[in-house]
Amino acid sequence: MPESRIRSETSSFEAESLNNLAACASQVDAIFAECAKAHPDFDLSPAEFRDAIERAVRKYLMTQRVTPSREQVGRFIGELQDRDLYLALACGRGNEQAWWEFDRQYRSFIERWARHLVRSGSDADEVIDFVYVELLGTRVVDGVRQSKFRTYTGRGTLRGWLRTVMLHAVVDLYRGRKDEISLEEWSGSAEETRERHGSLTATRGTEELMLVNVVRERYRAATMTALDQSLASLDDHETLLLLYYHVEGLKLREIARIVEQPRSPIRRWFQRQSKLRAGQSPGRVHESTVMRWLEKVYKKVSDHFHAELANKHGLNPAEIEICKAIATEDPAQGVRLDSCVTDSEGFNTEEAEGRRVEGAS
Amino acid sequence: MKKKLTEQEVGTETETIRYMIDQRLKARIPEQPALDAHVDEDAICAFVEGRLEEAEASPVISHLITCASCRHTTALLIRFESQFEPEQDPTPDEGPGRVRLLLERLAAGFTPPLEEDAVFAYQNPEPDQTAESVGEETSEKPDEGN
Repeated sequence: MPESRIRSETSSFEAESLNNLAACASQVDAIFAECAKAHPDFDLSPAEFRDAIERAVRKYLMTQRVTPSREQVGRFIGELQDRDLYLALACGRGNEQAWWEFDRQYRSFIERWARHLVRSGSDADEVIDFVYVELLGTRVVDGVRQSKFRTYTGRGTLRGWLRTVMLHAVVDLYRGRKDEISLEEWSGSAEETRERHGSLTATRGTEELMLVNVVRERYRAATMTALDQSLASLDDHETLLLLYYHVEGLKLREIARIVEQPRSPIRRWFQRQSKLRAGQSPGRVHESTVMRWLEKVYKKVSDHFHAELANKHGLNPAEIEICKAIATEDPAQGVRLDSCVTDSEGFNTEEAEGRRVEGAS
Repeated sequence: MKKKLTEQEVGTETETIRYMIDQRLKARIPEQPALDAHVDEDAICAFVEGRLEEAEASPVISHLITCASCRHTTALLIRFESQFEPEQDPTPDEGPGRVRLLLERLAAGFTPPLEEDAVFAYQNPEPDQTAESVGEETSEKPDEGN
């Protein structure tokens, strides 16, 4: 596509989006009036507030190259945490009264959250200091202090945003330390994660014949390829939840909490998968529900995995069982390829291997 | 013809595939996106709080699948939040003791680039507040709750 046309379409998309935002001006003004009424001493102008709303719209609604409708923009604005945004904007420009209000509302929370993240009191103080420095802003560009507050759009709560900023501060603080202790170690939550993550290290039998090793490696490669293909066939929500469970070590009830969020896209997806109507859906999602859902995903992967090995790699059921045995073998036992790799047609391991696992490695 | 599995075999089959998935996902080497490609705190917060519409969440979810760092942040937020005690009422207006001490520590830790920046906008609004009263207030700070 010619560059001039791309530019033209871009400016058209942007112009239409901003027109729809402009159509919501009265809504923005009304929100601003409410906030200003509650805190007349924050000294924030309507223009600054409008600019902040535009930044939020650009960030969240104008990324997909699909012009958001006026209704979408209006709904988006209505969902913004306007009071939080108003406070953050005023703090960001250094308004004294706003800072007192911020301190009154969030001081206790910041201290408690810092001590929740790190067990050491002095580290917690260091984190709090660091975060306050970030919030105040130490750099000045064109006469404007670059406060961290300027990155807050009001899409989430100010409290949640502070949680995230502080967590990043903790990660940065400890990243620089020599001993490289993980965050779970500092906060004491490592144990349960470790329990679930106890992994078996696959070791290769050193006494097997070279031929068997070659066969084994080809089956192993076919297994990994098929498993990767099966995992790739999942949709993003399924993959993310598997990663949360298996890699991040989140527990079922913690996953249930993500799904419980009333507006969570993961919840909506989950409801669709579970064929629940929104009206029938209870507010609470139990661990057992998540477990059943996980089992469905395992079944989906399993079916895809078998189909991949059978159709793409030409393996028969006995060979597929060998693949699974190799993937899950107890290192102490090993898998007897020489005795069990014979398919229904009587091919031996070598022949079956030569015929069927072509291109697997 | 496909053999019908017994209940026990189905259980074993699930365990097997579960183990394989577990090992495979953990063995993957995470990608390292460019620093500016990470999801910022604002979007992470909105995602974890379940406030993003599906179209807004879609790029975030795609990023979390490939970026171990951002995914780990969201997982930690979910985990820590579930262990965090319910929020109490905001601290009553008890004066600026804590924030003043913080600012004093901060002021000792860095030098603002411009002179006017040294005058923070958050000075004690009560001119009669003495250092002693600040110290008393700090010492009476409520239990941190953890």
